[in-house]
Amino acid sequence: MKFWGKKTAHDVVKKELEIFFPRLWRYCLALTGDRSRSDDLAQAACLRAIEKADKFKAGTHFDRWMFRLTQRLWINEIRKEAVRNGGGLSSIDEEDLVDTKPDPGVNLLGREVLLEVMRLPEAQRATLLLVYVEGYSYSEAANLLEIPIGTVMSRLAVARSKLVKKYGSRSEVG
Amino acid sequence: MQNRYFSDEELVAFLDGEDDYANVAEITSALKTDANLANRIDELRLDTKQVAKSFEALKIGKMPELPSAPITSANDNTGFRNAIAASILTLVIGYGAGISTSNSQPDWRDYVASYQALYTNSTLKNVALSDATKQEELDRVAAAIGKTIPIEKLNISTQLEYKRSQVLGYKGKPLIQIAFLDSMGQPIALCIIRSDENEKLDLAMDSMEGMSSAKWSKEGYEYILIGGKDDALISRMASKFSDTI
Repeated sequence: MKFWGKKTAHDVVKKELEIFFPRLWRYCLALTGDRSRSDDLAQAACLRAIEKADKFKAGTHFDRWMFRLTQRLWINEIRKEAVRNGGGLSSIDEEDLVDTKPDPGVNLLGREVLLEVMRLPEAQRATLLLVYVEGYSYSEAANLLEIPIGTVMSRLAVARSKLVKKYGSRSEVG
Repeated sequence: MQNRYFSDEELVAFLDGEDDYANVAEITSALKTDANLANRIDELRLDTKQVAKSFEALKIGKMPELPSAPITSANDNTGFRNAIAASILTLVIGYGAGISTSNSQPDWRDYVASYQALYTNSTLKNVALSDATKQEELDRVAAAIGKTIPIEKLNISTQLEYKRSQVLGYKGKPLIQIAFLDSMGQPIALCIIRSDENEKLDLAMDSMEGMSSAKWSKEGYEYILIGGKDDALISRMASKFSDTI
C-alpha cells in the first residue's frame, strides 16, 4: 500500500542499495564467514537502512554510512544470535562460495586466496576487505569499524603474515 | 649504528604506503644495511591487488525485495508516534477505499497485514518481560477472546522468541496479537479472532503486504501467522501453532 507520492528518503536509499548491494553482500560475508548468514545480514542491513533512511544525507558517502550501519547491526544484534545458533563453527566450502566454472579473469590461485582470506578470523577478514578490496585508508577503516588505527594495523599485519606463510613470500601471489 | 626495531605494523604500513604510520625514511635507510629487516618485509609482502581480484570470483547473494513503503522506526518517541499515526492512517484508508486492488472485501486478516507491515525489529527488540509478566499479560489478552494460552505453547521453537501480546479490535470484536521475533530479528505475529461461522479451514499459505503468511480456522476461531519472507518458517510454525493453540 503506497500513498507517498514524491521521492522520499526511502526512495533515495532504496536506489542506492540497488547499486551498492554486491559490495554490501561481500562485506556481510567477510563479517559472518558464511553464505546463508551473509544473506540474512545483508537483508537485515537493507531493511535497517530503509528504516533509518531519513538519517542518510543525500550526496554524502552512502558506502561508509552503509558499512558502519551493517557493522553495528552485526556486532550489536545479529552476531550474538548467530553464535548462539552455532555461528562460531562455520566451515568455508569452495563450491558454496565461488563460481567453480573456469573463468579466465580469475585464476585458480585467486580462488585459493579468497578461501584463505575467508579462513582468517572475522576481525581480520573484515579489516582486510575494507582496506585491500574496498580501498579505504587505515584511518577510514578504523572509523568504519569504530576501532583504533593501531588495531587496524595489527589485524592487517597478522592477516598478511598468515597469508604470506601460506603462499610463500613473493611480490606477486597470482 | 644499531638500527631501531620496527614493528610488523609499521612494516605493513610501509608496504601499504600509509606514510603517516611508518617512518619511511628510517625504514628505507635501515633496509640498506639490515638483511633481516628485508626478510621480515618479504614475510609480510602480499599482493593485495590479487586479494582484491580474488573477490571477483565470489558468487554474490541475491538482493532481497525491499519494502515499497517507508518504514517508521519505533526506536524513539517521535518514531513511535509516527508509527501509530501511520498505522491509523493505513487502517482508515484501507477501510475507506478497500485495502487492495482486488474486488473482494478486505477481511480482518488484511488489516492485520497492513498493521504488521509497520512492525520492525526495533518495535519489539527492547521488549523484555519476565516470564511471570508475560504469562499475566497473555492470560489477560487471551481472555479477551475466551481462550487460555499457556506460555509454553508459544515457546515452540528456538527460531521464534515470544515478546508480548495485546488486544486489538476489528469491527467491535476483540482481536489478539501475539508478537514474536524470529532468529533473524524479523517481527512475526500470530493473530486470533473469534469466528462467526465456525467452519474449519485448513492451513493455507499466502503473501500479504510482501510478507509470508499462513491462515487457518478451527473450533470457532480464525488465525493468521504473518511476518518476514521465510515461507518455510511461517509454514512450519503455523503448522505447530495450529496443533497446539
